Amino acid sequence: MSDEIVYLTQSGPYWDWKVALDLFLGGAGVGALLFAILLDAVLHGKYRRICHTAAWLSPVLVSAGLLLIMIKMGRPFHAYHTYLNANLTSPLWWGGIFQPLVVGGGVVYAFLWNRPDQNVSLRRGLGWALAPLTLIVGSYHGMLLSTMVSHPLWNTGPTVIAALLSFATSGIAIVLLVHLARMKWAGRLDQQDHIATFLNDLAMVRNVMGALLILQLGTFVLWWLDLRLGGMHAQQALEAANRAYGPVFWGIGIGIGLILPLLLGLWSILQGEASHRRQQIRVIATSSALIVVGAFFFRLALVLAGQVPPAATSIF
Amino acid sequence: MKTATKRQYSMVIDLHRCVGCSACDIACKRENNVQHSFAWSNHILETRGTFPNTSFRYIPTLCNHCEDAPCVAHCPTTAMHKDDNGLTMHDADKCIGCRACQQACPYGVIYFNQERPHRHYREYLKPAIAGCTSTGPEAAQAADVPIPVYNPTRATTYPGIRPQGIVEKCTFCDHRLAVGEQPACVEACPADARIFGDKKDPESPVSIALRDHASRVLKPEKGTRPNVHYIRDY
Repeated sequence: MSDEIVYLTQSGPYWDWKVALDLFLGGAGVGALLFAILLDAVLHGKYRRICHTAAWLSPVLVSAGLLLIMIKMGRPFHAYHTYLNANLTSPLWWGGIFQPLVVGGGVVYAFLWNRPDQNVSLRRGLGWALAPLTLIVGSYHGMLLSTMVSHPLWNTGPTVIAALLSFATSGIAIVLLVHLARMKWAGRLDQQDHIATFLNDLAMVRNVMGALLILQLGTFVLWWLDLRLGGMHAQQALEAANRAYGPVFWGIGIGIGLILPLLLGLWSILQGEASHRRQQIRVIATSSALIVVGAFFFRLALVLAGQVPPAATSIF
Repeated sequence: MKTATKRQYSMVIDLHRCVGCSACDIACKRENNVQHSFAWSNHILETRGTFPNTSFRYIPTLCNHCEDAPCVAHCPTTAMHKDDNGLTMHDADKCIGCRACQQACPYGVIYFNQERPHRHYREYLKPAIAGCTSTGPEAAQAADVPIPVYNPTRATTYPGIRPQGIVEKCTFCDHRLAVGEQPACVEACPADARIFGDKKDPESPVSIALRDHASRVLKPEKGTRPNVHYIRDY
């Protein structure tokens, strides 16, 4: 006779793809905003068009995420209670406070980018004011899961770091993807000198992106070790998650979303000047698309896998 | 989140006395108008081992009214909160149905009303015996209550039937405690396996039982400090 425990509670998962997509969109949105702020601050207007794209993408993405979470709620019209009652221990409360602030501030920031030569100091000042908020919202997306003691798969430190790194990489990737699309529609991808300048300017972003992807990969190894070498419940949670969502997480989230873009980037660097410029553009577009797809599936697998009930354990 | 309270109502379940009849589960459903597929009062069945070395356990479960309740910590609107009696309570009006409490609870004792509650009563439109028995809606209408089997006293402290879109959970029958009665599951237990009282009162039956017996709680490693204790495990 095999061990059997029957404990019927309401069947999960309680949070589905809508929550995963909210985490992805919200993360990418604040990542895009921070990207714009840092590019503007560090390189003083060198990447104006990219900043413009990023600044407008941010409120759209974060709002879309918020809309999804409102749809997911049982009683969205009671959400005003979040603003009437403070619960400092609730990550959702922090999210409810800071995400609308990021959206509101992001819209003003984006409007300021419509005329990049005007109100520069105001734009940069607002950017610096919004930067800490983007980090708070980025952390919130990890904290929401990592503070759940009921779910050993989420209840780890690397969950927060992975969310922070993922918001940065997916934010940059989605901005590059949309920006390349804008360039194509505007016919700027046909201008050789424009492509050359773009690629030259983008070298630094590519290096930062590579470093972030490697850090993210390292965080996943740490997270895996944390669970694999953790207590019985952590090991069982990892086993259950791997059984149900292993291919999605490791295959799409890590393999396609992290390792493949890294290899493509490495290949592009090794090609150097010999590489055709159009080919380099294709590599950037493909890598960005893979990172975006991987980031979504990483979050989807994480959200769903964390809710998989582990195998039977002793009751007490 | 630990909060100082005047009282700390707790329950002790004597597993040696429990006969696994589920009277507690039925009484809870009746008292609190708990709908089909929800079980504020529930139980775990555990079968282990290989013949002849086998074991079977029946563990009654309910909201643990944890002192460090994760549901309270995670609720963004303070709908889940601790009251002066140490109970983990739910304010239905403040609830936004985000399900963070359900997600945070390590014991799976919080239920979410995804659909309109008690649907099966409202939609059960065929009588068991045509021309003889009533349908669910007919029975409810005749008694002027929302569902055929309805306890109006539940509505004194919590919605009698919780609306769609919010969570719900055991309240240790706070409406009964308010008038000096014991929770319905305690009253209904034919074996007196459930002992209820204020843990902060050293002379309460709960304090005496905990003093006299070694006790256990569910998932102590979660650090939630549950207020449902189990004694005399076998």
